[in-house]
Amino acid sequence: MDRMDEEILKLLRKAPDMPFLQIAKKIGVSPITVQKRFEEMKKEGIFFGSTTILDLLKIGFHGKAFLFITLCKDSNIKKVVKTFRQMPNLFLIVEILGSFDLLIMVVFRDISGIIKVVNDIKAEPHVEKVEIAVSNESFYPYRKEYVEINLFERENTELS
Amino acid sequence: MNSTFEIDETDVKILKALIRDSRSKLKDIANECRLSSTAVKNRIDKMKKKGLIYKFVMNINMEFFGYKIPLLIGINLDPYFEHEIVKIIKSHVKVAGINKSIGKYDLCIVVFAKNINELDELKYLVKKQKGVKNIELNIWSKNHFNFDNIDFIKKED
Repeated sequence: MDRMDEEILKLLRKAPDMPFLQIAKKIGVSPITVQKRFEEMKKEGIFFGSTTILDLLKIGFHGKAFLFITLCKDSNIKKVVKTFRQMPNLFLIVEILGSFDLLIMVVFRDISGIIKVVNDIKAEPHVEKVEIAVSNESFYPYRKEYVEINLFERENTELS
Repeated sequence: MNSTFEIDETDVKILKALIRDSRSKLKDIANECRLSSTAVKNRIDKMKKKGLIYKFVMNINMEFFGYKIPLLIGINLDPYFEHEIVKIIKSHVKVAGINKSIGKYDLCIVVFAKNINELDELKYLVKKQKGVKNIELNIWSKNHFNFDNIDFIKKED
C-alpha cells in the first residue's frame, strides 16, 4: 500500500460512493488508475467492499440485543452456528473465547420480538444458558463510531 | 416524534443490494428490480431522506492495519463515570461501537485491539477506575455476519 492507495482509501472512507472520476480529479491521476488501485486493494484484502449502515429505528426496530450463550459440553459449535444462521434478525454470530461460547447480535421491533428470539434460542438442545444485554440503539450492521476509526496514525500527528 | 415508515419488497431488494455493495450500479439494481434507474434512484433518495439509509461505509479489513483482535468489552459501572471510562478505552483501542445497555452489562463496546498486551493493560487500567464494578473481555475468534435474515417488512403473526 503506497501513498496513492492511502489517498484513495481516505477519500473513499469519507465518501464511499464517490465516482472514480471524481477521485481521479482530486488526486491528479486518471480514472483508470483509480479503478485499478481500487480493484488491487480489494484483491489484497485491504477492504472487503462498501456497505450501507441503516438506522433500523426508521422502519420500527426499537433496539438491539447482545446475547451471551453458553453451550453444553460436547456440543458441536459449527452445527449450532448453522442453526442460528437460519433464524430471523440474528445479524451477527460470533464464536468467542472466555466465559461464553457464542455472542449473538440481534435486532428487534418490540419486547415480544426479543422474548421470542430468546425463547427460540433457549429451545435449542445444545444451549445451556443465555444471558442478555439490551440496548435501545438501532444501527445496522455497524455503529456510527465504526466510520470514524482512524486507520492512519500519521493523521494523528498531523492533528496534534 | 414517530417517524417510522413502511417499505415494500422492492425497497428491500434495493437495500439488500446496497448492503452487499453500496457502490452497486443503479442500472444493475434497476435490472434486478425490473424498474428504471430513475425509479430506483427515487426510492434510494426517499430512504436516505427518511433516515433509513444512514450512511455508506467502506468495509475495512482491520487486520490488515494491525488490529488483529476484535472483541466486545462488557462493563458494569456507575453511569456517572461512563464518559471517563469511554475516553480511556478510546485512547487504547479502536472503538467500532458503544452501546449503553441494560442486563448483563451496562456498556457493550465493540473494539479492535492490536495485541493481547494492549488489552491486558487496558483491562487493568479500567478496573481500577472509580465507579467500575466489572469489566469482561469477550474476544472474537470467528464471526459470521448474516445480512439476509432481517425482517425488513413486519410479518403478521
